[in-house]
Amino acid sequence: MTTLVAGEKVLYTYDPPLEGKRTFIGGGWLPSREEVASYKKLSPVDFEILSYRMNSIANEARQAILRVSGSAVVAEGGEALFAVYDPHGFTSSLACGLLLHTAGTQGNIREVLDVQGKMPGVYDGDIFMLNEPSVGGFHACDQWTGTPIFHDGELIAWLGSLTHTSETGAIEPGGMPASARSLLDEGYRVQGIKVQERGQINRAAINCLLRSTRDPAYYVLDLRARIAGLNVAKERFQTLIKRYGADRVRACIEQNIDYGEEMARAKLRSLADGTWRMVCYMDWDVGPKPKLIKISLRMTKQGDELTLDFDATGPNANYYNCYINGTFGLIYVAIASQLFWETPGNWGYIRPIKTYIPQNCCLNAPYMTPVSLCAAFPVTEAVTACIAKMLYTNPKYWQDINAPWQRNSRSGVFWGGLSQHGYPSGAAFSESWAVGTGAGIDEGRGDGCDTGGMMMTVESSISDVEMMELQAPFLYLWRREGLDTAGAGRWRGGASVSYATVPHNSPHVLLGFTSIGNFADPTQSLDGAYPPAFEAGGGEIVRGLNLTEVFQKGKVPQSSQELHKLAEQSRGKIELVRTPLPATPMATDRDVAVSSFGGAKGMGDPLDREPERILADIDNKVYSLEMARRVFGVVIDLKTMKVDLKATEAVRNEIKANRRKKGAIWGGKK
Amino acid sequence: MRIHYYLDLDEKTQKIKCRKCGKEICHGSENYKLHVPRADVYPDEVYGVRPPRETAMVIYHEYYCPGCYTMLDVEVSEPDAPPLWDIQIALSKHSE
Repeated sequence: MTTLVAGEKVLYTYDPPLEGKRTFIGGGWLPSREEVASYKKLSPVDFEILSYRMNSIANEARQAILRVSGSAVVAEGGEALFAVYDPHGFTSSLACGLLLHTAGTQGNIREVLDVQGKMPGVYDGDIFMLNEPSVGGFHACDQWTGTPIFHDGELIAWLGSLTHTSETGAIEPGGMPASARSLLDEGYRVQGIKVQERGQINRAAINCLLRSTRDPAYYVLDLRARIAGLNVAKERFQTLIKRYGADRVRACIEQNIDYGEEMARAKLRSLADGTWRMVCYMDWDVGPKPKLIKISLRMTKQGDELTLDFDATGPNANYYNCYINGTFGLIYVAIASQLFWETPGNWGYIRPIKTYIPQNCCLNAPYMTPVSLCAAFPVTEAVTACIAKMLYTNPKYWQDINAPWQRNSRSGVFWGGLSQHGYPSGAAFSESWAVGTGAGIDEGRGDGCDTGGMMMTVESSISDVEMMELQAPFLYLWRREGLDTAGAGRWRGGASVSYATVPHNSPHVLLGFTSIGNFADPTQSLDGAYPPAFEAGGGEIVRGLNLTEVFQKGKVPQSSQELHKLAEQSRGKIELVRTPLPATPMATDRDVAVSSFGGAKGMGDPLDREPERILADIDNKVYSLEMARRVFGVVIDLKTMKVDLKATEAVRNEIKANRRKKGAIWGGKK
Repeated sequence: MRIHYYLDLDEKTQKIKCRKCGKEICHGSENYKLHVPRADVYPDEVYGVRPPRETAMVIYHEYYCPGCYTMLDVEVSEPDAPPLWDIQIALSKHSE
């Protein structure tokens, strides 16, 4: 990337310097950038047909990955990507369940060409693997494999597949260890080895991987899934070349990128110029006290260019940091889904964007800093909020306005130990994807979708409870949408998941918690709505219960309060989890983890929400009666379970009167 | 031009106005939050499980329309933070 130092900040223009000359790379010639730029443009009809075909190939290959992988993260969470790149690694077509990697994986191809182009060379049938966070991914769990496409002795494209593979052999199971204090604690990092050489699997290379993980069975399935995706796409690609000719295919790859840029710039031109700002927070480093980590964004749109200027607190000692690729990933979750959703997902829509990020802050962390959680979700929140505000300036886009929905958490999401089937394993629970989506406005979506899906993996779903119980040594006491978690506004955010699990049928189980937002809300709702809350009781481990006896009576506890009562009876104890918790032992059938995610953000003043909608929210267990009264000013007659309109009007007037009383112009002038 | 769920920028007068009550708030070149009432609220004053005031590191700054007292924004920020200038339209250059 071209970098220009501007004060302490670095400008990222996403325009990497590339050698101008044609280069021989073993299996053929890598064309120069000038040659690539001179490929003849296709007619509109040819372009439409070929770009659609390439997009279909990428989507089919991604489906192949999802169907071969056995991991909940990939198969249900949808954390798999497939991309077609140009010879230099610029993304042209993208099938992207994981928006984080819209921009990031390009670095992998450049690393392969740079390090291995001359020796040992790049050949047809090679498959390279990388998961180095400082090069092209987000964290070590993001594992990329790529293969070159040659035709008549010339490199014409790359194909790449990526999965989030949970078990990296880190110091804790599940790939995102809260106790990591260095990148070295976060598991193996593969630097572009050939897992397949000229069509032959390299068993020694694969053994390096399998012998570095707690769960080689799941691991190899993800690897095979990625290779399956590459094989499917390569076959389709070769058919495409045979039918349309290599010249047209490679021209289409470049033209698709130019088309993406053209669409992106046209959309930017259709919006008002201006500057929008947002400040977000994280709240924990390594303790013992909370630490406020501030991320601020100034987004400026001028003509057909967008500049994102970040300020952020310095790097942390824990796993919340991002390397620059991780931060780009978080930025492009918002850009791809909120601003350029109708634009082909490729390098083209990245060209109009400039980003300033200070060096050595938590968003541009120095090498070796731990990054495995990469939890600077507020970056996505800040960009989404600024985009929402910008979209108001053209009525054509009002239907696209969304409040953000990355989330806060108090959740036991990583487990490790012995599975009920007798082998060591480690993975993530799929509930991480069951978070609500952000609210829109009257002309758009209105309320967010309850447990609709994580912002960075919009196509995600979650495993059935039965599937989770089959794969992992746990029983679920409950899984439901968390009460009062939806961001309260005129339009509410979606509610997020609440779940409780107990280890079962295994002598050795560890559980790790993520925990964000217990001391500072990571971000805010929009235009007068309140930030979302947690469900009561979320984020605790209730230990020492005699659940076998409870189950034998045909009962299954359904709330934190019930668990507390059982703990009292069995002299158990309650541990509140308010900070990231490294993998902790859990006793089989005795220790219950209660987890909760904060909901999505709302939009507009809660007092403007129609009482009838609140009544429906109560019926649907989205909000409690107390939330309805105190935040929305809506009173429900408990006898009839209908809205008491008179009482509602009185409460709402009282809330407004209180606003008049307590509000003052900043600076003390009333 | 609409610039917010509840706010318009009148392109003739270049004033920011409330869409609900029509109250003129300030010139479009200014931060509207400097011209509307703000209240500081601890997160735990709002119903729901939120950071308790003993340990909370941020508070909610609520901003209201001076005309109809509709809540315009709930800013999450440090207690002494000045109002964030979150919407700053370039007045001379509007959309195509």
